[in-house]
Amino acid sequence: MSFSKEKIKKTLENAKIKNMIRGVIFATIYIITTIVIPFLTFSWVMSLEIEGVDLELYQDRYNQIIFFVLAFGLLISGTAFFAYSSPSQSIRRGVFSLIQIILNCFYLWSYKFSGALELELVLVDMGVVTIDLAQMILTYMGIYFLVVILKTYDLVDFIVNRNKIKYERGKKR
Amino acid sequence: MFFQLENSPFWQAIADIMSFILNVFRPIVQPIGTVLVLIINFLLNFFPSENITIYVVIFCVLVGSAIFVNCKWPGDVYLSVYKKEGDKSSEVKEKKPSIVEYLDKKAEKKPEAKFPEEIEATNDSEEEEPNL
Repeated sequence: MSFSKEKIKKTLENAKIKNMIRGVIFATIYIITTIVIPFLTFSWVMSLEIEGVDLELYQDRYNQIIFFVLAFGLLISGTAFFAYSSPSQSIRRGVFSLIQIILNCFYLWSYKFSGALELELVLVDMGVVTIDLAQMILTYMGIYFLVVILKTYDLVDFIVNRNKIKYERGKKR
Repeated sequence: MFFQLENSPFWQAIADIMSFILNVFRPIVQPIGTVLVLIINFLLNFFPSENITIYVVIFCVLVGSAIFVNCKWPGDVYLSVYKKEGDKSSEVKEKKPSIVEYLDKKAEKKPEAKFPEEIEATNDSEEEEPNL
């Protein structure tokens, strides 16, 4: 009796730890890709020098970009932690994966909102360089929309086949 | 260094492949993206754009609730038997006994065996008159 109880407890502990580690790994990946790398990139662009000439990104635009990168990056990382620390093919993973994709759309579009897609780089004494990436982002948004449909289908599948998933999960162990 | 990489044939090849893929899918995907952008533009009005603390709080709440939910339901409850919905061949229904069967069963029940002392004691108690 006590042996089986201990075994169940141990299994539960392992599952918890496994889920947590997976969640932390993915949250870290998302923090790096959605916050750290964009932050470093924009900071680098801010202080970029071409052939001895300074490139100046407007300070207020820079602040706006950093704000949105931080805000949506935090939301995406939080939902990624929730989604990936949930058991595979569970309903809560489905729900949070869907939320995460929708937040990704917001994150991507916030670049446009903050003016990052129409970058104006002022070359001192030479002129202005404008980079317009709005068309490319529109294409990406379309792809994200298709992913939203896919994730919705996944969620419905997880709900409908809940018992089967649980049974197969048990068979794997 | 960055501008030297720009001229390398490897990066050029990657850029060509990417532009080919984007050009092929653009007519299908871009209108969908435009619709999504309209929705997002509307929803972005509800996101606070000055206070980062709200986002930090939401992040902390998400992480905290994820830890709590995982501790409570780590997903280790398995089903030993999987039964398809509508599969009547594997279903075992328990039949309810009819009233006749129930009475027959009750009649078949044997009385419990008692020691002779117990039988006497019960007889005495039945004969005793209540104190008024």
